Amino acid sequence: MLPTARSFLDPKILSRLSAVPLMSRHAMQGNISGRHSSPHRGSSVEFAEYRKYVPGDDLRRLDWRAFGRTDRYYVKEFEADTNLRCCVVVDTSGSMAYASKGHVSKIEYARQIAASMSYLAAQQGDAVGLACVAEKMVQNIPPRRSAAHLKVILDTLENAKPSGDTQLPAILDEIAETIRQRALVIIISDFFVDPAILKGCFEHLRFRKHDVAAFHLLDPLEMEFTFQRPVRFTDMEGGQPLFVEPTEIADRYHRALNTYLTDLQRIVLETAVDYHRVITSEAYEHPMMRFLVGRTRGRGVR
Amino acid sequence: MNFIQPWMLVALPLVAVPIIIHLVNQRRFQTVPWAAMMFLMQASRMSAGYTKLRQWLILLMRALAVACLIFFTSRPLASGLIGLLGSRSSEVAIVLLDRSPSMQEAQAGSGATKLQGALQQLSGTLKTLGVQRVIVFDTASEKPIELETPSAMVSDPSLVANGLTSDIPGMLERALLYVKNNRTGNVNIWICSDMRESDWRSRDGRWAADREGFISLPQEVRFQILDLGAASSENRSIRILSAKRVKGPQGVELSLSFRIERTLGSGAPTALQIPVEIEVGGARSVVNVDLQSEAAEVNDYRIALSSENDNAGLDQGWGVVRCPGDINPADNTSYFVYEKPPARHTVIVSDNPRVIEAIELCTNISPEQAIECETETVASSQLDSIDWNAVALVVWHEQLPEGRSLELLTQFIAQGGQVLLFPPETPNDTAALGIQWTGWQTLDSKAKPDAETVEGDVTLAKVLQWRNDSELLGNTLNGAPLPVGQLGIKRICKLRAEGTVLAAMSDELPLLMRIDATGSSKNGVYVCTTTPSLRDSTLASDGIVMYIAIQRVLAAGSERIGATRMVTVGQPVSSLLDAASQAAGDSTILTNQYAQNTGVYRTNDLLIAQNRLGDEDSGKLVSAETLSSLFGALNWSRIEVGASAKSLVQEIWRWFLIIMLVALVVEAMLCMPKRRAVAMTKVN
Repeated sequence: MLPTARSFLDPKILSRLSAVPLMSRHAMQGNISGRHSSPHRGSSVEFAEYRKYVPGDDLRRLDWRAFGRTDRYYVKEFEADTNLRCCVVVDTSGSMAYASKGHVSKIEYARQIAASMSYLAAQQGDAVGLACVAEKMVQNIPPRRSAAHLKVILDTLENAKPSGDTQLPAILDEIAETIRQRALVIIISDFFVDPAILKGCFEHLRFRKHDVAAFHLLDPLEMEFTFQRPVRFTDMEGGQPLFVEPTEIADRYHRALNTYLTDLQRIVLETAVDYHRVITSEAYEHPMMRFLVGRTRGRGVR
Repeated sequence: MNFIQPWMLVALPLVAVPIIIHLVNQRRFQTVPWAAMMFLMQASRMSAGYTKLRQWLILLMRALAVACLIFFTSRPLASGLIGLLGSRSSEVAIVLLDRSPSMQEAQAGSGATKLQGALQQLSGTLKTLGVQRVIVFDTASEKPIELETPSAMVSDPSLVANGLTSDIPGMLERALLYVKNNRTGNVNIWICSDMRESDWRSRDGRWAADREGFISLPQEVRFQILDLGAASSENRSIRILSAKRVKGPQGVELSLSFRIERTLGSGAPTALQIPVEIEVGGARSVVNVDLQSEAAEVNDYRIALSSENDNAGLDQGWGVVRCPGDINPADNTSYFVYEKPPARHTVIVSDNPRVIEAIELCTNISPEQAIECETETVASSQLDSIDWNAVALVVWHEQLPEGRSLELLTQFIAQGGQVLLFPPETPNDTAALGIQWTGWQTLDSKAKPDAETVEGDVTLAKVLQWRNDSELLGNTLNGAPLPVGQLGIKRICKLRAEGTVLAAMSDELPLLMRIDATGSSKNGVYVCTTTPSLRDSTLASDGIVMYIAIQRVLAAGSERIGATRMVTVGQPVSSLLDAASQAAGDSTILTNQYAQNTGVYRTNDLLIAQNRLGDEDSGKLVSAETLSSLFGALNWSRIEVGASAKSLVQEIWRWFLIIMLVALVVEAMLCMPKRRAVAMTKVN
């Protein structure tokens, strides 16, 4: 399937992840038959309801047994299965280049998740698109189902370079408007923006009936902040540098980080975003597995 | 605060090391590209009050710990009054020790006397300062006492209190000589005293010489005056004024006069009755003395020595008067001796006895019934035949002595004899005993030098000034002055002499002088510049002045006659006590220290009662102003010594060690990182 070997794709991990289907949490409006539920009735094996026969209905769909019991004409309807539009949004702002010693960078981690997710979607016949966002929409590949399209996506991911400021909220609003049908929107970012602004974006996406999932990437050092000597921090997104005595500021840094994470946690609950906080020291297989398994709960896997 | 090793303080700038390290550490920053800048920005905007304070406290604790370490190694001393003594301490210390009776006063809060307390504290101080050898000067011994260690001061038997009034200027004089001769380096001189005026003698002329001597020394001399202070509570003292054996109506009696004084610690004097115990010949009696103010005197208190029919064995004896114990036991006792008064023997040496026959009358008439007076007139060539031990007074009316005569007379004066010199009719150029006659001068032009009677119209020169506090012309016991001003002088014999003028017509015309012949202020050589002859003066016709003066000088001379002596400690007669036995007094005194202590001592020939000097009882202290004037430009400091401290200085390095440890513990607590919330790092 894979035309060339990619550093951010591991076949073993992909084979393990393939055991769990990528499901949407809501009904999708695909063009073709697929593995996902549709808001319309179709010809799947999943019984939906009985409906009174009206002239014009296909006589083959009359339920004769029901007629025998009730002497009335009923048509038996089934759930329609359709395919999924999966739109992967990868943050390629400068901050995603950060990697503490011994760990992969956030952009590399994002590539691994995005590529694996695209592969899994394409494997089950879903349409996959990719949006790389920084100060603007750097790349926007609309969702398609073809195998060649996957190659385009992987090439784009491979060539993505983190740089510049992040304008994620504005671009998420833009994405919410530009995707015409219901879709699974997977956002992979460090979300270093005000949680209140993010809340608006998530609500916008939800309003457009998209199934929103978020992978929040954080480096272990960003969480622990274990610097000892005085440090001059330079902003990776081009802001003013800051001279800091870490032992003096560590308490307040942790307090600010904790407040941010608490606010973000509250917002994703309120906006029903499938939120996954990921520390980059963890293997990407685990958060992906949690993501996939979490979606299979509540409905049977076919 | 001072230091034994002050050179260690040069390391004090190291206190800045923690601050410098902090600043250097801040400059050695690393540059890190950082993604989560929004949290850093928020953190830097948050209040940093406590964090800043904590940082400053950490720096402070580190600097404090370094400072304490430096102070600790400098061996600090806990006394600001020692000045920079610690830095200048040498291995030798000179101590001038006041061992006078007032130093036996008990210190408040401890049972020790002032002297014991001072020695204890000084010993501890010198030991702390690293002094190896101590040189002690006191009044009792001419040579300094050398001690190998400061600790020996406490136990040395020669440094106990005695009855001798100290002579601080004299001790300073000897200390100056010692410093000069031994070429010591910088030296500290410690003066331990209770600041009594009687010991310091602030009017003594030697102070100026001592001061100049010390200033001229090339090395630095620093004086530390350990002020043991005034009495903390009331102290009473008793002192015998006189003890006479007299014949009374009931037989032989003892006539005692004594004085009780008290020094008040604080508050106004209250009237009280003091039971005074009198012990004579083993028999004790008590007399109550009412003390209304600060002093009381009992005069002529009679104690019967025998009945009229029993006179055996009472020619001489001794006794003690005591007042009840108080804070100073040394002044609660006074000793006396008595004897049958010896005859007052006068020798008149004159080439013209007629001129001074009035003198013979004066010496022959006894002022008291019990005292016999006898006079012998001899020529100067007969002096060898005189029993000088029985002579009280020599009246010399001849050419000034020469040769053997001068030798005998000088010896007589040295033994306490009194000499009264009158000018001869034709004086020659002989100089002796510090005087030289230069010739007669008539004071009144109308006077007739050859006439022996006074004409009614002759105007006589009057005595315009005289010392009414002197021995000879002093006021009477009831305070009335002698009628010296009524004397009329016709002519005087002028003289060259160094001495004290006791009476004079004017500054250039002395009438009576005391000559300083042997260098001692206590000798009794008097010179009168006129004669009792009517052609010279009215000394004979207004005889009361002459009689009293003659009897006074005779009484002074008779003190050397007889088998008993009442002396004060330190008088020349004390040298006789080396071979004496103690009849009364402190039995713990070593035999070689009898001369320095009060008591009754018996030699082969004499019974001697030795008492402290009367000035010891006055309690007058040297004021701060006087002390400043005495030391002038010398480098000195005064330290008031309490009874509680074991030493004047104490090493307090332990405190700095403790402070350093506390600072380090506090610093460690401040540096300890806070425990972070577990939930914060927990992965969702």
